[in-house]
Amino acid sequence: MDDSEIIELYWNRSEIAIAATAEKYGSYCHTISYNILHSKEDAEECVNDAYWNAWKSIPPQRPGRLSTYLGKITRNLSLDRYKQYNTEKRGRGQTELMLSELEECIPAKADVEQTLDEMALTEAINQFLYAQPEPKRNIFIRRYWYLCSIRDIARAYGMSESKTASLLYRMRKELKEWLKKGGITL
Amino acid sequence: MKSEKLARAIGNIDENLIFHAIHDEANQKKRGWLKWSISAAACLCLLVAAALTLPSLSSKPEPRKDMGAMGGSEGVQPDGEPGGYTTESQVEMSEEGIQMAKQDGAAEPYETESFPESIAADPFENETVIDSYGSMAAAACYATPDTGKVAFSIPLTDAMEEYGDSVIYRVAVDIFSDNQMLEANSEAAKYEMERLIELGYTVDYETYNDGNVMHYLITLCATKEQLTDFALAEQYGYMFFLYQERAQ
Repeated sequence: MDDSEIIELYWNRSEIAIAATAEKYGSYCHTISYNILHSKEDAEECVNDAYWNAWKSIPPQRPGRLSTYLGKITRNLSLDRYKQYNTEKRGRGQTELMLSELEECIPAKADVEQTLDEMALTEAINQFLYAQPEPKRNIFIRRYWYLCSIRDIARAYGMSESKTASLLYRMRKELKEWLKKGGITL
Repeated sequence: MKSEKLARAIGNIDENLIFHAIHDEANQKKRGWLKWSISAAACLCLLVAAALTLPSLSSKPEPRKDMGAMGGSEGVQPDGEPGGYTTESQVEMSEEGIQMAKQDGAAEPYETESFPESIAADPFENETVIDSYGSMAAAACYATPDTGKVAFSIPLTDAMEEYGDSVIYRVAVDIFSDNQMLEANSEAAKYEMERLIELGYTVDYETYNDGNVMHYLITLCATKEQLTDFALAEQYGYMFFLYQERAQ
């Protein structure tokens, strides 16, 4: 079943929509959630919550790309759950590492005056990513959106782990400079 | 936490960026490969059809007996017409076609089972075999499948979605027992491979050296139906990838 048919099922309030979504994107969403939570049970719950959120939001929403729409919901729910569990599960999985690495991208507050909301920050990141060569951009997104491990990214791209880590390090520095030049603070 | 805010902002980046991160330019390479593969398969089918049909169309009972005794490419040039076949394999196919015509008569259609051994040895020779689809990078991020469960990588799922039962999928399989992956060269894995072969699956076992370490890989060639209705052993979980996801 293609995405438009599944979305039509949501619009028609047919519960088959959930089953069709689970069949097509269950594994995709589970992977995203598992990479954040490192718990099958938690990931399963987050994915089910994501289906429920999709059910509530479509309509009125009509996603242009169902996979990433669901992926975003799943990722946000998983990060929420991660935050909820953070104190007891600190140090587990890629999430802690990802957050730690992203700290390096945050410009010093003294250098900037303007505080932007999250949408503006996202837009700045979009512009940064579109300015990057495609392989670098995709590696960054795999690391910080999909939370793939450096080892897995390195293997996928036929690079050494150190080279991958080094590339990501330089990109974080570049993003920091980019945000700094844009006058963005967090 | 500021990094969490940044992480959430990254979470809302453009959907095209998110999508293409796992369906990136490797996809275009795959498309090129696939087009080439389909074209090659079509050419092969034409060659086989031509090799089998031309001799039967032009054959006559008496000359055929003579040609059966002739060797090499001369045998495929009945009545002195130029044959046009130049490769050894093509000559072999044509010769076999003549032999079949002798047995069955020129008007009889050729059955697939009657293909020469060199072709019959590879059951997927005339099939389009898919072993890659889109970017394979995200494949490495999958959760371990539970015991008694089968999971498919995203590229494999996408490929099955797009091509359905019209192609053969060459896949690599990781087998898990209690969430621990079996070493492909372990006895348990070998027993499982033997079980699958007995069930009719086309199973292979590959080794390769990446320059540092020897790697082992279990591969299957299967239809979508064979994969989705996989005859799993209850004590194992299975993770299927398209071959190139693992081979890379």
